[in-house]
Amino acid sequence: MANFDGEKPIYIQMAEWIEENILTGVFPEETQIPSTTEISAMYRINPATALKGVNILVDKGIIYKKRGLGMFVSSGAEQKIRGERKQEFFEKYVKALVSEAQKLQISKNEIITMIEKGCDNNERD
Amino acid sequence: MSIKSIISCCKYQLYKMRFIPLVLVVYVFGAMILTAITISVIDKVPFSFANANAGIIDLLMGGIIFAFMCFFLMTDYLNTAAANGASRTTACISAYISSIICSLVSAIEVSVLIPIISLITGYGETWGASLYGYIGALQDAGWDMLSIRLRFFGICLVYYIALSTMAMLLVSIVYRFPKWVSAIIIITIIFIPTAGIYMTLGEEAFASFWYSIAKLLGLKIEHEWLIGNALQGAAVCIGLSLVLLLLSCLITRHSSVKPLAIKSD
Amino acid sequence: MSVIEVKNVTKIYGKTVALHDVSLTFKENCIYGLLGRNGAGKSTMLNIISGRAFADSGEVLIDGVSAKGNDSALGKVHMMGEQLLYNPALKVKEMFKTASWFYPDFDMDYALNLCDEYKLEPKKKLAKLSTGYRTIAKAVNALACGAPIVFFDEPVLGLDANHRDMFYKQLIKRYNERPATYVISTHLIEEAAGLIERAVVIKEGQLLLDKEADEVRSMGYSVSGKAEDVDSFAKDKELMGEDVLGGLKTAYIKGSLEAAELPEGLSAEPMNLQNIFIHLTNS
Repeated sequence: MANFDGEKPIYIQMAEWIEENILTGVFPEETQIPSTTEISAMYRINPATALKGVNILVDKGIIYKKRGLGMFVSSGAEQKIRGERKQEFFEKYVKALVSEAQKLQISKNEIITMIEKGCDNNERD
Repeated sequence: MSIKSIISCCKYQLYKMRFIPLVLVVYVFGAMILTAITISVIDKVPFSFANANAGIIDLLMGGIIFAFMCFFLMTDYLNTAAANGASRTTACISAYISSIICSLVSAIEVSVLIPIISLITGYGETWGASLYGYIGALQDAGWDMLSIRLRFFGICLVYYIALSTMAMLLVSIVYRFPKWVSAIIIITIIFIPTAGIYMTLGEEAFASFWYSIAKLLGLKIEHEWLIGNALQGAAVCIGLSLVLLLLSCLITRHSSVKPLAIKSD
Repeated sequence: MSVIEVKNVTKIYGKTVALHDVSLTFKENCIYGLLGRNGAGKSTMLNIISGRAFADSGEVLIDGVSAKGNDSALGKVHMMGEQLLYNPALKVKEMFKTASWFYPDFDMDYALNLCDEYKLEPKKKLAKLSTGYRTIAKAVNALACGAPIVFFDEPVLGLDANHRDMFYKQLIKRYNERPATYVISTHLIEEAAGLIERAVVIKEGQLLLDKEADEVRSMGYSVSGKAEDVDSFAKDKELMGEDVLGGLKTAYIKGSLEAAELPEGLSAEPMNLQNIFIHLTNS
């Protein structure tokens, strides 16, 4: 995500962006992430907002501050994020999927078939 | 109002003023050559510097200074202060101080240039000096040349200061009031003491009014060989300049800031 | 610590009340968005604080000292106004020089570097610049001046998208290097939404709100669906506005929404800063 804008509070978008990058390995564990100064300039957001986003992750234990050096990704962060997102998966994706399927009158079995197809396709790629 | 801000404003004004010494030199020598040419053409005589009219040069010098003030130095004294976080009072005081500095520089230049012109043209007197007494009269009264030149310098200085504050007032009026109101005010100011008195109260009243003004300024009026009261004139000029300064400040005190027109030709 | 205190300021131009009894404070080291419709009174307020205009009643304190006619207070403020107050005959570099005489922390190297980035020629006269480039010159001047309080009144007026983006980046960079109180008055709300920490909204000469930008975002949400369903949902709520398209209605509701509350058939969306602003300031 290259733009922080729109509806969700920007600091939350920022935290999610960092988590996303941790998950995909762009910010590996025990490496330094860009400073809030750099992030705020790059994405044209207020540094206080950037700091707020970062602090959420510090509180969650996903990032830690090394004095005089900057912010680092904690070990086990990937797992932590994954665990959290797994919990949210049902709320965020499954509910929406079921509701949309209902709108389109797709039956439960059809959904399951589609999911199996999707997983197979993914494995193949 | 703070000293720092006043110094900042003056720095800017002085920066703008940096051309005036050159302008004056060019004007003086240019006018000398021009008047010499004009007279030799009109009177059909061979060109000679002796034909140059130093009196006119000197007379118009005040006009040059006034025009310089009106159209160059004073035009943005309020806006520049406003653009840079300085108060109105500072703007007014700085404008006055820088006009004094400009008058000083100009008066020094004029005092040096006019004798040089006189040497070239052979024309001994200048109009400005003769207002307060011919060189000859002063010498007769025991003044030495240096003192006469210094006196001349002082007279130029106070008159230029007075002219500058007149310019400042004009600029302030135009700044504060809508164009048509300014025009009316300025025309009234010029009209009443001149044509106004002449037309309503007659020629005699007009003459005696200006006679009184001349007396107030300590000018030499009656006999040619009289010596005027330059000190009185100086006091009146300075006093007038302070009054005009005050008026300018009062007029612009509460007006909102207006940008100068951008002429992008 | 509040840097600027506006206390009960009223300003009347002829028959128009530009500001009516406005009180607010601007704190140190924060980027404010000053938002309001055309003619709401934003520029008037900035002009009064910076000494370009005078309040009819009320006062402005800067660091606890009355700003009126006070050079040490006014000298802390630099305003990039819509109007050009510098002499148009000045060259860009001369404008910088003038500012440096007044603002002791003016960074000339930084200003010239920015000119490079924008391809603004420092030797060009202000009058000869295009409107857009004149805005850029004023913006560079404001970024470089080093004053603890800087007002940007419509700083990107007439700037192309590339220059606008550059400006926002430069602003954040400068703010990171030298924290100060920045007040940005702009109509491009969504563009500036990320930059600002606090939003101050002026409506018809009065202070409507002064909150953290995120708080403003959570001030409302929209609900769409069949008109009757929306109406019954919105019945007991505070409405900010509504749009109707045939049988579809969208209601803009003040407050925040619990996910559980939303009945079937209705969809809810959060509102961005600009949308909330629009609905709060529609008369």
